[in-house]
Amino acid sequence: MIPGPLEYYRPTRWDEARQVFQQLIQAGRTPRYALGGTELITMARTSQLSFSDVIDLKRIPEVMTQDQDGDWITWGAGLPLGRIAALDRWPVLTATVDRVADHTSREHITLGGNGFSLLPYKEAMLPFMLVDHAEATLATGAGLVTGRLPDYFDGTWRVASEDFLVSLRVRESEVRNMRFRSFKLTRLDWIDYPLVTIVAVRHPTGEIRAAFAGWGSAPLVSAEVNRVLSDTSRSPGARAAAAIGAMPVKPLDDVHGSAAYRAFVTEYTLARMIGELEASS
Amino acid sequence: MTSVGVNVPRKEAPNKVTGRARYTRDLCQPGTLYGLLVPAHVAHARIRAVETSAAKGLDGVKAVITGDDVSFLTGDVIEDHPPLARGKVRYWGEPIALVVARDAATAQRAANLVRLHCDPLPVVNSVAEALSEHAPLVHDEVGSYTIATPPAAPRRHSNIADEANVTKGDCDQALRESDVVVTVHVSLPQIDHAAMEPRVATAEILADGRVLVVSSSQAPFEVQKLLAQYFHLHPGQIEVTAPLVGGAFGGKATVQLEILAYLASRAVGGHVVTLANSREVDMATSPVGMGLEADVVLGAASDGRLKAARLTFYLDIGAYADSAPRIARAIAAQCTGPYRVDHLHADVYAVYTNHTYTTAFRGFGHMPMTFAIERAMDELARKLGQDPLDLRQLNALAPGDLSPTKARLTSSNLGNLPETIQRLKPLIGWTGGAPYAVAPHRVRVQGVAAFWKTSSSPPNATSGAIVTMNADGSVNLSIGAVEFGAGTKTAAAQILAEALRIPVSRVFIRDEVSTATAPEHWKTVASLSTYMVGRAVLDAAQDVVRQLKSLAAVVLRCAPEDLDYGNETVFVRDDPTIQLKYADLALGYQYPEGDSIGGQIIGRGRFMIRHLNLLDQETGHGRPGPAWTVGVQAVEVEYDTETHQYQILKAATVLDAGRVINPAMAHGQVRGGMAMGLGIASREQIRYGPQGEFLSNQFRTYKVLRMGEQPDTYLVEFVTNPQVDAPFGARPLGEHGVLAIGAALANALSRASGLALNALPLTPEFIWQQRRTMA
Repeated sequence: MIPGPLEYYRPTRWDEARQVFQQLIQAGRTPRYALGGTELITMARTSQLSFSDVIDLKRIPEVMTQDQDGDWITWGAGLPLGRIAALDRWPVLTATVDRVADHTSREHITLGGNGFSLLPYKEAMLPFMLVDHAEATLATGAGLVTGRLPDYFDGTWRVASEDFLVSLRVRESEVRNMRFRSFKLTRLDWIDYPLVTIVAVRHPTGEIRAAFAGWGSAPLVSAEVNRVLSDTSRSPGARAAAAIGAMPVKPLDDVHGSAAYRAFVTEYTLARMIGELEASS
Repeated sequence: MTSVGVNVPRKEAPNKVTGRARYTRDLCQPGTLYGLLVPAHVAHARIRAVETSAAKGLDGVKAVITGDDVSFLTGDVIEDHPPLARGKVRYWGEPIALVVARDAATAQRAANLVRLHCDPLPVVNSVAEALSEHAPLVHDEVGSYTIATPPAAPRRHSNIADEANVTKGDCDQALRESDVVVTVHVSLPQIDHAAMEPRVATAEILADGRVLVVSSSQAPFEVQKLLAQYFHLHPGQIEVTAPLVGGAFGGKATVQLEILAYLASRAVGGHVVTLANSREVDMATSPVGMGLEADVVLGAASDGRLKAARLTFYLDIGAYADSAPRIARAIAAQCTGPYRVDHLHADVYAVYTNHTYTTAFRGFGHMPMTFAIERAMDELARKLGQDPLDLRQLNALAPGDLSPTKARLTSSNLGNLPETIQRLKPLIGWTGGAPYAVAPHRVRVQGVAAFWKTSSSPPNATSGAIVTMNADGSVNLSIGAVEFGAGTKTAAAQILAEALRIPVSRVFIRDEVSTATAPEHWKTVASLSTYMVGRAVLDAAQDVVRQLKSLAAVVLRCAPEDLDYGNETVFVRDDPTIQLKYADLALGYQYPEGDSIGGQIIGRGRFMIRHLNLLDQETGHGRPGPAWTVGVQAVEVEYDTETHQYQILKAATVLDAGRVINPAMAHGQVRGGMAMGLGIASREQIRYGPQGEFLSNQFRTYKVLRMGEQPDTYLVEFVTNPQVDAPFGARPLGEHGVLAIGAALANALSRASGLALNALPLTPEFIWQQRRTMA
C-alpha cells in the first residue's frame, strides 16, 4: 500500500514524459519515473520514500526495445530482468540478472529500475562495466542522446533528474564468445542481497576484468584490480589476495556481513574465477 | 480401528488449497475502521510527550490514543506492560500511539505525523549489559508490580524479572569427583515466529454492551478472560472468535492486539475497528522468541555416566515479562535434557533488556535449553572419545528415575528414548559422527541430539467437547481448540469417529472457535490438544453412546446393557437384526403411530489435567506435565573446510509417539518442525543495532529457510510405547520436531570444522569467525 495521495501518468512518448516531469517539478511536486515499480512500492509502503506522482515509462516504445540491429545488441530500460534472461542475447548478462532478487520480482524489476535502484547493488550494470563498447541512450533536453556508458555511469549515474535512461547496448563482435563467470555470494541463502556479486570476464584483449556489486556502496570496476587479476605470472590465489589489497574502497559492513568477511568471500571467489577463466577449454 | 492410525486428509484442506479458507482478515465488514500502531524508533527513553495534534487534524482520522489515555498495566504473570508506552519507551518498535482512521492509507499518513518527544536513556542491549553492575534499569522498580499469576520472583531494583531454581543432591561435590568435566557457554539470539499470517484483531462494542472480538489467536478464552479483567466486563459479554489461524508457533497465545483493538473501538464509540500488523510491526512490535545465554557444566565418570550438572540460563526476555516466568520454570523442570543426573544445580533467570518483549515460542523454552545441553553432551562425547548416540543411550532417563524436579517417571509418562536411538541408527545410516572426506576440502558428517518435553501447563487446564447429532445420524463436533495448521480439528474428528464407530466424513467440525458457543479449552498450546481435546471428545462420545442406547432400549424393549453399536446402528448384541439406525434416534424416536420420545442426541464431554502442581519456589520440586515425549534427531551435512559453506543433506527424527492418530499429519508436523528448527539454527536472528535498533523487521533481513534450501531428505519414524491415560495412547508431538534439530546441526558442524560452535545462527561467517579466533 502506498499511503500518500498519488497521481499516475503513463506517457507514450519520451519527450512527453520529460515534459510532465518538468511541469510537476515547477508545480512544487515530487514526481518519480517508474518502470517495474517494485522499489517505489516497497519503500513507499514503509514510508522510506515518498513521492506525489509516478510517471510510468513502460508505454514508451524506445524504453521497451529488444533489438539486435547489425552489430549492436540493445536492451530497453523497461525490460524486466526475467525477460532479459529469457531473451538470452548476452550470456554474462543473463547469468547476472538471473540472480537478482527472486523469480517473481524479476518479472517486474527492470534493467533501468535495477540500474537506478536506491540500493547499493545495481547488479545488472556489472556486465556493461566490463566491455569497451557499452553505450547508453538517454532521454534529454537535447533529444535522445547515445554515448559511451562510462560518460554517464561509473557506479553512480551522472544524469539530470528530469532525464532518464532509455536503453543500453553492447557490440556483439566484442562480447561474442567472451568467457565469463558471474557469482553472487550471500550470507547463506540463495535468495538474499549479495554480500558481493562478482562478474568477471576474460576479455578478447586477454585481460581479466572484474566488476563488483555489494562490496561498496556502489558497483565498481578498477583498472588496478584488473591489472592485478591479469598478471599471469602469479597464481590465482596470489592474484586474488593482491586484488583485495588493491580494491579502491573499503568493503561494506552491515547486517548481511562484516567487512572482513566480505573480503574473505571475495578473495576465495576471485581465485576460483581466475582459475576457471584461464583453464584450457 | 478404522479412523485412528490412518491417513485422513485434514478437514480444512480443500478450502485451504483452493484459497477459500477464511482467516481473520478475510472477514471484512462494511464500515470497518482501520487501526494502526505507531512504533517508537528509540529503544529506551523517558517520554516527554507524544504529539498527536497533526495526526488528529488529518481528514478521515477518527481517533489517536496514546499511553496517556490508558492507565492500566497488563501481563499474564507480572503486570508490567502498558498497552501503549507510558512514561518510558522500553523497546524499539514499542507502540507509542494508536491511530484509528476510515481507511488504511489515511491511518498510515496520520501515523507518519505522530511525533515522540523524549529523553533517550542508556540502552540495555544484551543480557550481559542487563546484569552488569550499575546497569540502567528497564523497569524503575520491578518489585512494585502486581503478580497476577504466582509464582514469579522479580528481584527488587534489578533487571531480573524472575528466577527459578532446581537443586538435587550435592552438585559441587559430584563435580569434584567427576573424571571428566566439560564447560560450554551457549549464546542464542532472539528469533521471530514468522507465521505466514501476521497477527490481526478486530473489535466492536455493541449498543447492548456485548463486545465482539475476532482474532488470529491461539487462546480465545484467554482473550475473553483478560479483556473482562482489564475493562471490568462480565466474561459472558465478550464473544471472541478465532477463525483459522495462519501459523502461530506460540506467538499468538499471548494477548496484545485484542486489548488495543478494544481500546480503539472504545475510542470511536464502539465502532468496529480492525488492527492488522504489517510484517514489520508483527516482527518488532509484537512479541518474539527469547534469546538465551547459558553456562553448562557437566561432570561424568570415565565410562560416560553423568554425575553432575551445574546449569545457568539467562533468558533475554526483552522489555516485558509476558510468559517468561512460566518458560523459566519449564526450562528448570526439564533442564538436564532426557538424562539421569543425580547431582544438579540449575538457575534460570528471566532478564529484562531493551529488546522486543518475548512470549511462548514452539517448544516453550525447550529448544534453546536443549541446544545448551546437547552441545555439552556432544563435547562430552568428543572428550571421552565415545559414540555420541551411545553416550545418550547410556544416560537416558528410565522408568523409576526421578525428573529434575523429582517427578516420578514411568514407562507411560516417559516413553522410550533408547528405542528411538536404536531406530535412528539404520534410518540415517549412522556413521558414528566422525567426518569423512568426499572431495578436496569437502567433508561429510552426521550430528545428533536428543530431546524431551512436557506441557508445563497450569494445573487447572481444562477442555471440553459437545457433540450434536444431525437427522441423518452424522454428528457435529464443537471444541475450543483453534486450528492453526497442526491438524487439531482433524485429529479430534478422528477420535470421535473411532469412538462412535462412524466414518470421519460423518463428523462435521467448524473451522472457527467462538467463546460463546464452544466449550472452554485452556489454550491451543503445549502440543496438548490431542490429549486434552481427545479425552473430552472420548467423554462426549461415551455420553452420546449412553443416550443412543438408553433411547434404543426403550424402543427395542430391552436393557441398555443388551445393546451394542456400530455401522451407525444400535443393535441387540445377540441378535443384530434387531436394530435401530442412528438416524432413527438422532432427533428423538418417532413410533409408527406418530408419537415420539427422547429428543436430540447431544453429548457433552470434559477433561481436566490431574496431578500437576506448581514447582516449589525453594526446592523447585513438582510435577510439570502429564507426560514427556522423548526422541532423537540427526542431520547429515556436507561442509566445505575452506569456504565454510555447507549443505544439509538429511534431517531425521525418531520420537516415541505412543500411538499415531494420523501418520501423514504426524510426519508433516515433525518435518515442519525440523524445517523450522534448521532455519532457526542456520540463519534466523533478530539483530539489534548499537542503540537497540531492531534491524531485522522484514524477510529481507530476517531470513527463513526457503523451499529450495531444504535438506534433500527428511526422515521421520515413530516408536510407539503408549501413554496409557492419553486417547488411544497418543503422546504429544506437535512442537517436538523443532527441539533438538538445531543442536544436531551445531554438533555436526562442530565435528566437521573441529570447532566448538556454541552460538546461533550457524552462518558460514560465524564459523569463519570462530576459525579466525582459534587461529
